[in-house]
Amino acid sequence: MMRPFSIALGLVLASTISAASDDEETEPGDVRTLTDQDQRAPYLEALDESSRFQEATGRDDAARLPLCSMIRLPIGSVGASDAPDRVVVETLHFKYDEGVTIRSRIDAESREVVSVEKLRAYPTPLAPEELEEAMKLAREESDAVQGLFEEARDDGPKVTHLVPVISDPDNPRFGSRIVLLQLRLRPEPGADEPPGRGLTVEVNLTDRMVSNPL
Amino acid sequence: MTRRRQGRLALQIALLFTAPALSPAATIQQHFPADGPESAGETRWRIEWSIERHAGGSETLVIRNAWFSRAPGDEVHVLGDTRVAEIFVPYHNGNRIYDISNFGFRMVDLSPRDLGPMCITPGMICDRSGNQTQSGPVAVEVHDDSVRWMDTANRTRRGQKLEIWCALDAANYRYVMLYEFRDDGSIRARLGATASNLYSSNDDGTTHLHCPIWRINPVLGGRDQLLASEVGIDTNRLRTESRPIREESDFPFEPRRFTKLRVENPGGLNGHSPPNPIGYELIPTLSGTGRYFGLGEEFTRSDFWVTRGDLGELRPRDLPSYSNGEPLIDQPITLWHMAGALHIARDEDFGPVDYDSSDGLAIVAWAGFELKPRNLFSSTPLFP
Repeated sequence: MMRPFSIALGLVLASTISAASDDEETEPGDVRTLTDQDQRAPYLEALDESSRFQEATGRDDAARLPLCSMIRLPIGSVGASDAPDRVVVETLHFKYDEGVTIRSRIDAESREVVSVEKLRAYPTPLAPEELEEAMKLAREESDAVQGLFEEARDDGPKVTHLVPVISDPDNPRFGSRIVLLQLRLRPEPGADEPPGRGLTVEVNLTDRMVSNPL
Repeated sequence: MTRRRQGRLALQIALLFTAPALSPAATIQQHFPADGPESAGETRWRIEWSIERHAGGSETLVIRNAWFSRAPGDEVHVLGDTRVAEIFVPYHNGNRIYDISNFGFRMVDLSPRDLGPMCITPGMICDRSGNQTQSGPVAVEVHDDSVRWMDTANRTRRGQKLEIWCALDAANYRYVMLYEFRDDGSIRARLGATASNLYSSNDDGTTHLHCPIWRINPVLGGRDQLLASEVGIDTNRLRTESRPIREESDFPFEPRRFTKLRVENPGGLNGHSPPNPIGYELIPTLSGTGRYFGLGEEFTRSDFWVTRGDLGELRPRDLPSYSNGEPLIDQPITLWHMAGALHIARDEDFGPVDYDSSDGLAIVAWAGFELKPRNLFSSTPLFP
């Protein structure tokens, strides 16, 4: 059974942003990031059929569970040839209702799910759809962000983001998916001058709140 | 917001998640003295490097292999894969940033104006394959390296070094990843942090560290026969102490002991009489050490870790699970070292009025370490 938000949407988005790098020749010991839909699909199917993964995710099809990362990871001793003993595919999902990262490893050859772990306060990259949502929330909820967009030229402000991990269980934001968005007005094209005015806002994707940090 | 703007924003987001191409290793060779003919070179570095996304995260400058020639035709394979594996940035306000594993940051394209003035030989900008270009992510420079030695007749030998560096575009920060390969066989690794501050404030909540953690695979002519030791001095009993590390373990830098990590190849002897095993010492250049106690921050408990060399063990955050007491004898080993640069906001980070972070820049702060040869040579190098 497919998970309507996490896996299916993840596949659609991945297909629109994939790069061509996965087909390139690599060294035997290289890690590769899998962004191509066709390459991701069999491993996502393996997870979908895994009772361990289903148990970790709570068997809840409506659970918010974006796929944040998928890499091909060689395992084996560092050596002259760096030839791996085996290759696994590692996925990171973020489970919003528990505020945990689910790290799964799948044998790249047999497609067997070899491990599923729940990790707290684990660095987990933002999925594309999460960043889109953070931007949407910031524009809707922050007058300052809206004002910066209105002040910017047609190409908009430059947007960068950070995803802080909260490691203190007593911190009220512990377990929340936090995004720090930084927006800066761009200099005139071709001008040798610094970027213009900027601001940073904090978006809590778990609580869907936007605030000024500090 | 216009549809056109929305389209551009969507494109910007898509580009953020685009996996950059992996590039094959490029090779650079540099003889010393660099301003003399190659045939008269006394020592030489041969280095393979590449730029990779580390463990699916941000890009890092990888020294894939480094060989050092102590004399013409006498080359030692010193290093295997060596890289910044994480930049851990803990803020006092509780935020923890993992600049390598939590993002897909890419290298800045540099231009010749980013190079220092020609000192020994002209510098160059390289593309990802190592070809000279006008705009690319890698800078290669050769510079003077101050006094190498002065003898009792007051004769001086100036040092020279090859620098390879990149700059990571990490949101508001730019991280300079720099490796210096010196004519005496020593290596210095540094990470420099410069930024438009994350917060428009000088509140103490903005105080933070930048803790780069390097993953280093020593070879020294025989990667599966190396012996690592913790070395320090006891100034009370006036003696040097050396503790062989036979199992995976970690230990802190103790400033009173001048703690360092030595790696030797007992099977690779130098030409000294009597001969000694060739080695290198990892020497911290710390202004402090950052210990943190949140969930999953046990990896900050030590400044040195020694683990079995495993292709799949890449993330410093997972060091406590990698270091599970496996024996290291007859196995390739991986060294991990954490350094730190402390950043307390100051007026120099901002403009002349208030604390608007977009009105100034934090000047670069450095963290790093040195790899110093020990018995690599049979006598004083670069000495007549």
